[in-house]
Amino acid sequence: MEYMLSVFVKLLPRIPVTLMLTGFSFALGFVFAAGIAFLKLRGNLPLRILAGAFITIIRCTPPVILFFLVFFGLPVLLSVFGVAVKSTDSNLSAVIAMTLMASGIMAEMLRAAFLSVDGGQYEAAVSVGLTPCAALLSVVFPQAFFIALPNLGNMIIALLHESSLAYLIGAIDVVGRAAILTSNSYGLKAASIYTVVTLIYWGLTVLLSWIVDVLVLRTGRANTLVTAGS
Amino acid sequence: MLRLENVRKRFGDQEILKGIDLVIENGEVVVIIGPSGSGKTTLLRCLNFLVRADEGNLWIHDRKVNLAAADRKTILEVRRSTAFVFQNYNLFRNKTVLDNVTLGLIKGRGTARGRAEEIATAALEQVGMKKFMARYPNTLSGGQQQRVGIARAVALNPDIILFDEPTSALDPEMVGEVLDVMKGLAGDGTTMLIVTHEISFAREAADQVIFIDEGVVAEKGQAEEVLAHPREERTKRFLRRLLPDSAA
Amino acid sequence: MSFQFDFPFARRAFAEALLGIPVTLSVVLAAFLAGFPLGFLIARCRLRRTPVISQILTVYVSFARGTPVVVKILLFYSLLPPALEHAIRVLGLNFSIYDLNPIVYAFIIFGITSSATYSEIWRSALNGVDSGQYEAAVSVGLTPFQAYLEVVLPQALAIGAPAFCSSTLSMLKGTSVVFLMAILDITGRARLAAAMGYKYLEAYVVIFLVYLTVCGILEQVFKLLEQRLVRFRAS
Repeated sequence: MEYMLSVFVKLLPRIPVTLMLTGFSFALGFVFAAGIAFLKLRGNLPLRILAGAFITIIRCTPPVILFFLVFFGLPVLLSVFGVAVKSTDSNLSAVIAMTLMASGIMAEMLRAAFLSVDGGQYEAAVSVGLTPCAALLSVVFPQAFFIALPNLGNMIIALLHESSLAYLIGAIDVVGRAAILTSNSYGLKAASIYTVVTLIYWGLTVLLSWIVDVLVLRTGRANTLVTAGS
Repeated sequence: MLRLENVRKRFGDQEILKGIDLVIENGEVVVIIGPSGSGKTTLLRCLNFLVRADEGNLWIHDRKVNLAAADRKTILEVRRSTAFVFQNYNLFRNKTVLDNVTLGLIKGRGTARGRAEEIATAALEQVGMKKFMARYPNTLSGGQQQRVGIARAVALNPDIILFDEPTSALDPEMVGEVLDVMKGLAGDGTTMLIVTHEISFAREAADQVIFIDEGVVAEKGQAEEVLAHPREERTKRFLRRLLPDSAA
Repeated sequence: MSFQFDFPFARRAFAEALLGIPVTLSVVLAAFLAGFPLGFLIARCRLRRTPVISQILTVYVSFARGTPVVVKILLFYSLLPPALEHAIRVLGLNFSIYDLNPIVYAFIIFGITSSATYSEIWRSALNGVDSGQYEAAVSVGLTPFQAYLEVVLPQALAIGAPAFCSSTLSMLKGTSVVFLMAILDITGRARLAAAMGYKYLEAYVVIFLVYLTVCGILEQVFKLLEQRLVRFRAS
């Protein structure tokens, strides 16, 4: 239907917003996740407990609640530090909430991947004279990364899906714009609008999955070539 | 008692079995030897329909079964009159040793639990695994698992027990305990069809030896004849490779 | 401008939120009861590559897993009522679709989603059972059905248990958006209580705590379940 096509054209410019929300939270979440994983692996007891508590809390919190908590809670938190804000920026809140979620979940993924790298790899690396730091950076971390890759791929798709909730706190992404459009129509018109939204997300997911699969395949092949020596 | 006629099987464009014929009498112990890839295992698996032959007939107790076209009911009947011992034992991981042996009796043949456990206990006693009755397979060694696998087969009281390289996956020190159990069965008059590389076992316990090479029966006959005085050149070459210090 | 956390309200909101727990759990339960067996059937179909059906199912699974829950809710909630109303009129039945408890839509949406996620887990779990187990089972004379029931399924369950558990927990969190369909679950009830005085922060803190507790309890229950299921697995 031509109506759906016109809707699609109206929603198209909003796709970058969706992608930006997803991308930023993935990147930031990854950095924080690495830090939390490090704390959980190598920190002293209080730090380990803290990291573990953070991860458990994140794993038990529905994403939508996290969005609202950040949106309503950020001004309150800032006011404690003497910063007065009139209203919270929706996109910022969304990114913060998604980053929190991503860092909690990815911390576990990175930790598990790191632990599953054969200890002999590190031993061999330091035996040939690398410093512990260099051994980790050149040998262990790359392998851990490849092991975690499929899960990280799932994470970014999950983040894409999570970003669809951002409209509830006012973000004007694909869903946000669609919600505005439907406020002027009802019944089957709304259904058509949401069908377009559904197709957009389905398409983005399929595309992202394909990219992840290709990445996993290509790096996986490199991995097996290395280990298949004899 | 059991006769195979013209068994053929191809995988893709490779013909693995090119027309196998053999006869097994009641109480006979038949050993099949041959190089890897000759089709020995495939032949066995065709017998109990784990693999579907392309052509061939099976006579079991004068009843003719078409290996290629058998229906589900016939397949079930054949499977319920034979028993299979796997190279990798394939004990049911989610069941105790006892339940492994009784499962076929209770669910396959409708035997009452009490009677099934009696039979199973006796079979486990026969292979020396009775005291492991309540254990799970993941706590047993390879040799112990295979002995349970044999008990599982024996308990079914089949017309014939099929052994697919029963000791090939075992560490050397456990091969003996399994072969001893098999010799015991042979002595009791069990009809057995065994694919194996253990020539010494064949010499001691086999009645008939069949040498299969490249999908055909290259030579067959009485055990002592084939193993000590093989007629065919390729039999001689195979045995020489397996036993470098044999007189052949 | 300082902020005062309204504790009395928070207590009231907490009581309200607790009332929503049965609704939340019923959605998860319905989705599980529908999706768990369906997921198994879908996985089996796809593994055997039944022509036509497995292709359709692949698209079905891709759709169910490729669209966010909230988008599905928006779509179904705007599509189903008018469509079903039309169908009712065509069939000449005598009731209005708008009298239908919206929780039915939640059951449908989460049933579809869970059947797809569970089917993926079933697929990898069934693949993980050694084929020799099935062969041995039919060799001792079990019918294929018996072989599946007694040997393959229990082992697949043990393999998939951790994934099934974490997936169900995820679904529990996912149901927090059903309030969009005017369903009074944990989130819905608390938001309703908060709307009057615009006390949203307190409401969401309360909701957060309730989910934390429910999740925490379920996690422990699942851990015990997992331990029982994997008793016999080799390390």
